[in-house]
Amino acid sequence: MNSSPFVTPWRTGILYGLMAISIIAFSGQLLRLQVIEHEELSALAVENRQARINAPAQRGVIYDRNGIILAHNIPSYDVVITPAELPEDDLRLQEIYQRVATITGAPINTPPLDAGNASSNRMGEDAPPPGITEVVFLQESIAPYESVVVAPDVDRKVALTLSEELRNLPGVGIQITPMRDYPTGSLTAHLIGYMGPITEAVKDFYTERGFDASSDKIGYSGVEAYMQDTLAGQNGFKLIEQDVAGLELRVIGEVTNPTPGRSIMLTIDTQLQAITEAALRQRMKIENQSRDGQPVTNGVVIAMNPQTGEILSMVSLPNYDNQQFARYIPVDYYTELLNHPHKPLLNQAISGEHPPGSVYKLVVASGALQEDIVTPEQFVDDPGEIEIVNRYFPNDPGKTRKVVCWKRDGHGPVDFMTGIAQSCDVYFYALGGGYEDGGVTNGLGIEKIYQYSEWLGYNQTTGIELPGELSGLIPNSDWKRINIGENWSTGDTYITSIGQGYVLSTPLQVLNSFTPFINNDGALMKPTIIRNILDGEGNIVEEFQPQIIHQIPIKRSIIEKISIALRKVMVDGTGEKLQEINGVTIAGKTGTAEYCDNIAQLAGRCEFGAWPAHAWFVGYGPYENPEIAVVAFVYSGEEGATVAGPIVMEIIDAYFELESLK
Amino acid sequence: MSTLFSRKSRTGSVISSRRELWKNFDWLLIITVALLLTIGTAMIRSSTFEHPTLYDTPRQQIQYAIVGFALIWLLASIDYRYWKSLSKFIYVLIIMALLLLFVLGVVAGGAQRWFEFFGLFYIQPSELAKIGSVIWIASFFANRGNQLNQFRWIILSILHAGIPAALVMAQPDLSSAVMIIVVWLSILWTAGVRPQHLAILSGVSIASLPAIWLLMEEYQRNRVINFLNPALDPGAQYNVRQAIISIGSGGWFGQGYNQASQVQLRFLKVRHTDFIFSATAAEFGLLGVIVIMLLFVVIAWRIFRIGNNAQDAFGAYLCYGMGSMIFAQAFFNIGMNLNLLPVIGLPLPFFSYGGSALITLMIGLGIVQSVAINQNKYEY
Repeated sequence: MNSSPFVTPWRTGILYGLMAISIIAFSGQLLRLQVIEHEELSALAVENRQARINAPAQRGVIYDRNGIILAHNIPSYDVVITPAELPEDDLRLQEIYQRVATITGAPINTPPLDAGNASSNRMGEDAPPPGITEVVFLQESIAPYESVVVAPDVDRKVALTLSEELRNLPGVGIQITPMRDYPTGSLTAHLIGYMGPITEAVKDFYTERGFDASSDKIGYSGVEAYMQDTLAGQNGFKLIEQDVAGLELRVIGEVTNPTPGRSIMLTIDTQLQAITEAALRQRMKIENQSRDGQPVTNGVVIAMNPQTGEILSMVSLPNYDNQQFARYIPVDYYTELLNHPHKPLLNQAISGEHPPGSVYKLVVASGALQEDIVTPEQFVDDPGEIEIVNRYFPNDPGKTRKVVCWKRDGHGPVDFMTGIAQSCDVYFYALGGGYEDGGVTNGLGIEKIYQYSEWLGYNQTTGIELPGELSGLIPNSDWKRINIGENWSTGDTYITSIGQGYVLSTPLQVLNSFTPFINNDGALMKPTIIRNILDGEGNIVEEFQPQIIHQIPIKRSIIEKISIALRKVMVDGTGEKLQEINGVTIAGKTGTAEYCDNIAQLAGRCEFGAWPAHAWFVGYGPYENPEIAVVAFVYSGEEGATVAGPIVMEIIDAYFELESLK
Repeated sequence: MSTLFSRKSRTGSVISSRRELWKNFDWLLIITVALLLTIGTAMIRSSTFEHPTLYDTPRQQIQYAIVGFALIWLLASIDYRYWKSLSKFIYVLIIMALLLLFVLGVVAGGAQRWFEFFGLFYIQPSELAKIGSVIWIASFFANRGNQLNQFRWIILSILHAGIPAALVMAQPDLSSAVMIIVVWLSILWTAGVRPQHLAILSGVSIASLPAIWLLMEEYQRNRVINFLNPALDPGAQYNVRQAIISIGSGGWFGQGYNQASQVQLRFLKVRHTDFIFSATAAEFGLLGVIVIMLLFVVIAWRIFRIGNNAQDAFGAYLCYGMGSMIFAQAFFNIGMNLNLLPVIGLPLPFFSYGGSALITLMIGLGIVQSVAINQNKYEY
């Protein structure tokens, strides 16, 4: 360095030092960004320029067993504008907006907020739609080459009118997207279900499987949810290179075409389904005319082919209209459904857990004969009420308490056949818990009752292809100790023997528990609603085969005896007043199950000794070669034989009438 | 003009030969600048390639560069000592221009930085103020050679430089104000400010910050916060984010000229001006931008060297002020690109697109070359 008379060298040195420090600092940062973080930043650059464009797969159609459409895709017409393709000239632009607004009814500008009604504005359904100008302006600043919807879901006619003018409206287009449509609406809503957007919680799961979380929907309930993987198919996609404005520059690599989803044919017969719903509604209406207080609104009816397990109709009331969920889930309607005391969104056929009452007696009946608690011919005296000792442990002296038969003056001497036919409670107390004065020293006991319950399909889901199925509840001593914190008492055994107390079951479980006796062969069928799975051309890909859950380990002779007893119910038992029509022989079992749930409690109906009761009836026919079995459950229906019974009879009748037309 | 060439040098000898006059012209400095301009223009082309409105910027930049080189030649031929005698006049002229701009800006209801002359050309007084500040600050300290150990002269110099700096800041043009402060500080340093005085100055300014802060109105504070941290603005945040991605995607050797996706697909914003360093890092990689940074060191070294050989204090201070300003501009720009310094919107000297800034720099280089030509020692 030259020495200058005006600048001291060390001062220059400091300046060079500062420069050196800054260059070193910058080089350090460059090294970090360009070498250490090179990979991740390059990945971000790739993410910037590459976009995955989804080609949505067509979702499968859902048919009933006769090919009637229950869920399909219909086109939804959205009017879209691509900002980059609009003319520059402002006057021309206004003309286009004006024309689009006139045809579609969409506002040109966002209407100002209504000051008097500010709280409801911009929220829920009261919010005014945003104006075309604002929507386009926003999109232009985000991604001018990507189209934006200015008028969603316009009428087909509107779309046609507009499409004829598209030549004169540069930048305007009509985008056709498939929308789910449920022609049968509420009639099959519990079976078909509905769809909704992919939420944040499951986003990763579905994105990995090729779904586009921003536009694809997934099944939320019913078959739409349970068979989601089958119905959805596989989205196609292509990788494109785009610039910052979203303009597609080229396609990277191969284009993967979408694979359409499979269609599904259900076992449901829509006609029978409609008759089933009508019969249930009609019976509730009749019942409500003759009673005061709370009307009956909640009930379930299921019809099945007992030989195959195919569900022919399944109705749960109250229900909801899934067609209203077709495009989006309306908040008001959804909230209303959620807050309804009887949970219309739930399919109570599989999700409603109720005490089964007398329809459960088949468990104790089959167990008692198999374990030689009584002989079929042995008589047990029913004086109307008996005294039992409630013991909490083997040597507990216990307290004596009375238990009564539903027939207060008693059935007198009752044998096995009469016991079932008359649904004699005392007879089943004896079989379940023992009745020394009546000649039954030891009853079946709770652990055996538990085992036979499970053999008949209680305390477990049936495996039907619907989401949300519950398993009901069969108590035993372990369960009580864990959940109630008390020892099992002999009193509990008595009450369990007649399907009361802690016992809970779904209507589908009750119906299914009859299949070993209906078919007279001991096979517990697996209920199903899937008849077959079809490809896009309607060819059967997968066909339904009847499945047996298991062969119940009960002697054939006992099964036959119970079967005969079920026929006797209709001949001279609790169901004798039910009219057989058209000569079809019917067998079945009534049930009247007392309950005290939250709703009854709130309404003050849980008075001791006079609890409200659910009505149950399971019936099937023809007795000789059963083709149809039906369960009817009416919440708070009070009397199985008179409320649930007629519904079942009506449906069996309708079934054979429909069969004769084929 | 010819009279200028026959002016007597301080040694008394009359330079009559044109060849001898240009002997001390610093060719290495000019070549370095030409190299930066060439690479810069190439990067401007790459950044604006086939752009609907910016495609013409490389050609414009070349035009500005030609005008700039002509200005270097012209100003090199003018003895720099003229500027010293004109410094007071230049000072008053520029302050008036800044004031007038301020008034016009108030009238127009916003910031105004330009004077338009008959639609033919524009003059940006704050750019002139940068060059002007080098001249008048150098002149101020040169005139007070040995009095610098008196603290009052330092205070006076703050007032002297502070007025135009405050006016530029009020436009608001933070970056030009920062440059005036850099020039003042560098010449103050070169002229031999006592380190203890400098320590007092920094101590007082740091200590007075909270007091000033408390005296300010709420809206003024917000303005300062936004001024110092423009990253609060989501647009600026996006720009910096994209700059980081662009730099990182360059790696060791870059993605190649006209090849970086961040630049070519325009994810990087203002890539031909403020963020051209990031664009260069993306296309030429770590090695490429280290070369660019070293070129700025070479420029500063040549200019300081001319300063060391200057025949008077004014010449020396001119060079140190100019060299510091060029390097500081590069420093702030690169620091902003690397997300190490706040975004204050300074272009990269000789590299970013922009006629006004380039012309200013070339004028400065012309004056520096005049110092070189008029030096008294020949040492090659």
